[in-house]
Amino acid sequence: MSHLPILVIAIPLLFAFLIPLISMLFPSVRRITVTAMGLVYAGLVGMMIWGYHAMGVDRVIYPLGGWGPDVGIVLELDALSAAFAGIMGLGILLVILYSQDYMEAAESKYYVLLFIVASGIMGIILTADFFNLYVFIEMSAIASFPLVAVSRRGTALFASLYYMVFTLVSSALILLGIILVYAATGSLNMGEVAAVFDTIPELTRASIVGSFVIGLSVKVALIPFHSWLPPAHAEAVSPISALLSGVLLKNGVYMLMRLLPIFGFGDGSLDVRTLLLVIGVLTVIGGNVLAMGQGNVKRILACSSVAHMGYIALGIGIGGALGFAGALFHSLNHMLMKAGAFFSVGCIADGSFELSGLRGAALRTRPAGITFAMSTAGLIGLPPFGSFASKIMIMFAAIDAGMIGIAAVLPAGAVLSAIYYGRVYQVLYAPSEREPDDVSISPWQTTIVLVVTAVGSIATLVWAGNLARIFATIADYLVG
Amino acid sequence: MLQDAIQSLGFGRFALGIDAVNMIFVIAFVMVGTMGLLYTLASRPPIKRAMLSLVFVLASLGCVTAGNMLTFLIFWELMLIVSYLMIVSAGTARSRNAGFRYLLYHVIAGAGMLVGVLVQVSATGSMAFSAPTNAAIPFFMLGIGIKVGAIPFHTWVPDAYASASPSVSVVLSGFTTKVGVYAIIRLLPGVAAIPYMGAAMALVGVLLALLQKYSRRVLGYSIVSQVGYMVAGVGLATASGIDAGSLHVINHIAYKTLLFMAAGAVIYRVGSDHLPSLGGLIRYMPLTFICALVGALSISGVPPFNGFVSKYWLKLALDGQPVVLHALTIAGIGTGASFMKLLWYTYLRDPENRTVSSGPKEVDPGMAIPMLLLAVFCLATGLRPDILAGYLPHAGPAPDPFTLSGLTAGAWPPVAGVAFFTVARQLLSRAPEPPDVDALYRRGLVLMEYVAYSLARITEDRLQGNLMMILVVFLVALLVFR
Amino acid sequence: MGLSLAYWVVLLLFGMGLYCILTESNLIKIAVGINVMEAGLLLFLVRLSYSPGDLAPLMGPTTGPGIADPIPHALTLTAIVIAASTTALMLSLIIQIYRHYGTVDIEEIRSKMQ
Repeated sequence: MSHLPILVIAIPLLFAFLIPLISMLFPSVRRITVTAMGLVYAGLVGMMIWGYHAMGVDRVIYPLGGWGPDVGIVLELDALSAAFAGIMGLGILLVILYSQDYMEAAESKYYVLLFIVASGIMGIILTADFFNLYVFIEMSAIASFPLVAVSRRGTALFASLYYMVFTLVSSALILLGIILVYAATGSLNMGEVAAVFDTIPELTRASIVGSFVIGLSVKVALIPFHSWLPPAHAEAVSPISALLSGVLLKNGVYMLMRLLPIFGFGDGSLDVRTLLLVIGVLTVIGGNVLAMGQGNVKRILACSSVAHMGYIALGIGIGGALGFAGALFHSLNHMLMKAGAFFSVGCIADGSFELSGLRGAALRTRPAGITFAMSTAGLIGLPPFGSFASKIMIMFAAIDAGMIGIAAVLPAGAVLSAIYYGRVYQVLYAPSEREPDDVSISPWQTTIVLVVTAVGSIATLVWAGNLARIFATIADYLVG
Repeated sequence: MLQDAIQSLGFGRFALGIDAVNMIFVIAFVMVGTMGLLYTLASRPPIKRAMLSLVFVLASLGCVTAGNMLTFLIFWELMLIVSYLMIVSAGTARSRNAGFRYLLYHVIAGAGMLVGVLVQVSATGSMAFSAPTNAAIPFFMLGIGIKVGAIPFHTWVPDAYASASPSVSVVLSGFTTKVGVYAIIRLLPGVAAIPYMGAAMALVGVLLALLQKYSRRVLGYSIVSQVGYMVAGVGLATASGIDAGSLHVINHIAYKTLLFMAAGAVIYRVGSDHLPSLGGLIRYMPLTFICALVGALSISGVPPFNGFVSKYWLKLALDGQPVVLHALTIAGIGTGASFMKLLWYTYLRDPENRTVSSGPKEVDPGMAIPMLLLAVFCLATGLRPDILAGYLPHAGPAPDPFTLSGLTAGAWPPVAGVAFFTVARQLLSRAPEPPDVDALYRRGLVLMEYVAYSLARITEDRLQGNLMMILVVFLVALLVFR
Repeated sequence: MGLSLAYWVVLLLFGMGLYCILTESNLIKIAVGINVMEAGLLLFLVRLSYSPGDLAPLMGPTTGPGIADPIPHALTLTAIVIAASTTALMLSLIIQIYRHYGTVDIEEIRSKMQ
C-alpha cells in the first residue's frame, strides 16, 4: 500500500509531461511507451485496490507530507473509492490502448491531455478534501475540453466550447457549495464536515446541498442540464467519446455518491431524493426520446448515455442501500458497454457517423460489427449482459420501497431504446450492394480492446452474484 | 437485510430441472426441435442460420425447464435475441422490418415480465415460482399476453412467421407462443380473465386466418387461434384444463410445424406462397400434399388425428364455461374452413397460373423425412392418446374420446367448416385482406419518432436557453423540495 | 454596514456574470461573463475569512481572534490560477471558432452549423 494513493495521481502526471519529451527524442518508440505507461497506470491502480483489499480495513488515510487531517490535506481510500478507481482505471486503460491504432497520427498533446485526465480522475476519487476535489474536477475537465476539439472540425470546436461553458458553470456552482461549506463549518475535510453537517442552519444547508446537487447534475448530464452532452460526445473522436461517456460521466456519479451521504441527503432541508427521482424519470424518458430523434449513430449513443445516467440517478434517488448498489453496478456496466459501443462504432464508420451513409457498414467490419451489436444489446438491457442485473437491482430497490411506478420507468426506457437501436441495426446490418468479402479486420490491439469490452459486459452478468454482494457491502457502508 | 435482498434476486444461481409440469413441453420441444433442425439442414442454410436455430431450440428448452424466475427471464430474453437474429437472417428488407417489429413487441413483453417478477420477488422474498400477487398480475398479463399473441398483441405472429425464410419459420413457429402458454401455467394460475382471453384469440385468429392470401399468413393467424385453445385450457388452472391445454401444446407443435414444413416446401419449389397464384400441386408434390392433409385434418380436429383428442378433452374441461366453449366450437368451424381453403388453393384446384405449370418437383428426401415422421406422429398420438397422456402434468384418468358422442363432437365442426368454404368460396376469394391493428401501432410509432425528432431539434445547440434551465431548476429546487 | 456591502458586491458581480452568460450572444462576452461570475465567488471566499481590522497571519501568532483566516486566501489564489487557465483555453477555442466560422456570434454560428 504505502505510497500508492499519491502515486496513482502523480505518476500519470509525470507520464503526461514525459510523453512530448520522448516523442521528440525517440519518435519511433512513442507507441510502445504510451502503451507501457497506460499499463503501468492501470497496474498501479490495481495494486492500490489489491493493497486496500488485503489490508481489510474500512479506510486507508494517506496524509500528504505527513500532515494529519486536522491541518494537512489527506487522501482517503475507502471501498467506494476503490470501486470507482477500478472502474475508471480500466476505462482509461482501454481508451489509451484503443487510441494507439485509432489516433495513430495524433500529436503527443493528445496523450498528454489523456494522462492529465487520468491523473485528475484519480485525484477526485482519492481526495478527502473539498477544495482539492474542486482542483481535481477542474484539472480533469480542463484537459478534456481540448480533447473534444481534437479533430478541429468547426462543429467539434463549438461542441467543445458548449461543453466548456456548461462545465464551468457547474464548477462555479460546486465552488459556491464548497465556499458555503467552509463558511458554515470552518473545515474542508470531508469527514469533519460530515460530523458537524447537521448543526448548520437549515437555509445554508439547503443552499449547500442545492448547489452541489445541481452542479453535479450538470456534470452527470441529467435532463434538463444535458444539452452539452450530445454535441460533445458525438463530435469528439471515438476514443474520446468513450472516455467522456464511460469514464468522465462517472466522475459526477462518484461525487454524488460520495457527497450525498456526507450531506445526509439534505434531510430536513432539501429533499434530494425526490429531486433526483423527478429528474431521473425525466432523464430516462427524455434521454431515450431524444435518442430516437437523432440520425447520427454517435449522437444516439450520446443521448442514450443521458438516459443511463438517469437510471443511475434513480438508483441513488430511491434512497436505500440496494438502489445505491444498483447504481454502482450500473456505473461499471455502463462504462463497459458504452465504451464498447463507441469503440466499435469508431471502427465501423470512418469519418461520418450519419446513419444514412452507413448502410451495411457493420457487416463489413470485424469484430467491431459483432461487438457493436453486443454492446448495444447490453445497453437495451437484455441478458446475457450485465446491465440486465444492475437494472434488476435498481428496479427491485424501487419496488421494495413501494415505488412500482419508478420501477416501471426503467423497462419503459429499455423499450424506447429498443426502438432506436432496432432502427440502427436495420441500417448497419442491412446487406448492401458492395462486395460482401470487402471485410476490414481491426488491428490486433483494437481487437483486444473490443473483445474485452464485449466479453466484460457478459462477465458482469456471470459474476453478478459476487459483484452485487461487493457493491451492496459498499452501499451498506455508505448509507446503511 | 441488504444481503438478503441480493440473495433473493438469485444472481448466479441458475437452476434447470424437469418436473411433472414441464415434462410434456420438454418432449414436444425436443421432438419437434429435432425435426425442425433436420428440415432446416435439408434446406442447406448458411451455417450461421443453422447454429441460430439450434441455439433457439436450446434456449426454449432452457426457458421451460428453468427452476426459478430469474433463469426463466434470462432464457426468455435469450429466445428474443436469437429469434430476432433468425428472422432478419433472411436478409430481405421485409424480414428486417418484421424483425424490428418482433423485437419491439417482445422487448415490451420482457419489460412486463421483468416488473412482474420483481414485484413477485418483493412480495415473497424469493425467485421461486409462486402464485401471483395482485400487483404482479397486470404486468404478467402484458408480458405473457404479448408472448402468446393475445388480442390485440397478436399481429407479430403472422408478421414474423410469414416474413422469415421458410426454414426459419418452421423452427420459430413452434416455440415462442408455447413458452407463453407454459408461463401461464407457472405464473398466472387461476386468473379468471385468461380463458376469455383464449376464447377471443381463438375466434379473432381464425376469422383473420380465413381472409389471408398467403399460406404462411394463414398459418400464422391460425397459430393465434390454436394458442387461444391452449390458453383457455391452461388458464382454467384445473387439473383437466392444464392437462388438455398441455396436450394441445404438443399436438399443435407437431401439426403446425408439419404445416409450416409443407408450406416451406411449396415455397422452395414454386417460389411463392401467394394462394391465388398457386394450385394443382397435388399432381406434382403428392407427398407434400399428404403431409399437409394430415396436418390440416389434425388442426381441424378430425378423428382420429391428434388435434381431435386434445380438443375433445379441452371441451370437457371447459364444461363450466359456456361462453368459452361456444367460442371454441365456432373457431373449430373456422379452422376447418380456413384449412380447406389452404388445401384447395395450393393443391386441389386447377392451376390457373404459369408458375406452377412448369411442373415443380417433389421435395428432397431430407425435407420429406421429418415431414413424414411428424405426420406419423400426428396420426399415432391421435389413435393412441395414452402414449402421451402419461406425461401430462396431472395425468389423471381421462375419458376415452372414441365414443359416438366424442366422434360426432369432433367431426361436425370441421365438416361444417368445409361446407361453409364450399358455399362461400367465391365470396371469400373476393374479400380483401383485412387490415389489422398493427397498422395503428406503426402509425403510432412514426408519430412518436416524429415527436422525438422535433423535440431533439428544438432543444439542440441552444446554449443559453439550456443554461437558463440550471438557474430555473436551482430556484425551483430551493422553493419546492424543502 | 461594511459587511453587507461586501456581500452586495458579491451578489452584484455574480448576477452580472450570470446575466452576461445568459443573454449575450457574443462568445467573448460569454467568456467575460464567466470570469466576472467567478470573480464574485472568489470575492465571497476572501470576504468570509476577513473582518475589518483583522491582522494578516504573517508574523507572530497565525491563528486566533483578530487574525484573518489564511486558508481561504490560499484557496483563492489556487482558484484564480484555475480561472486564468480556463479563460486562456476558452479564448483560444473562440479564436479557433472565429477562424472557422468567421464570427463569434453564437446565433450566427448555430445557423452556419446547420
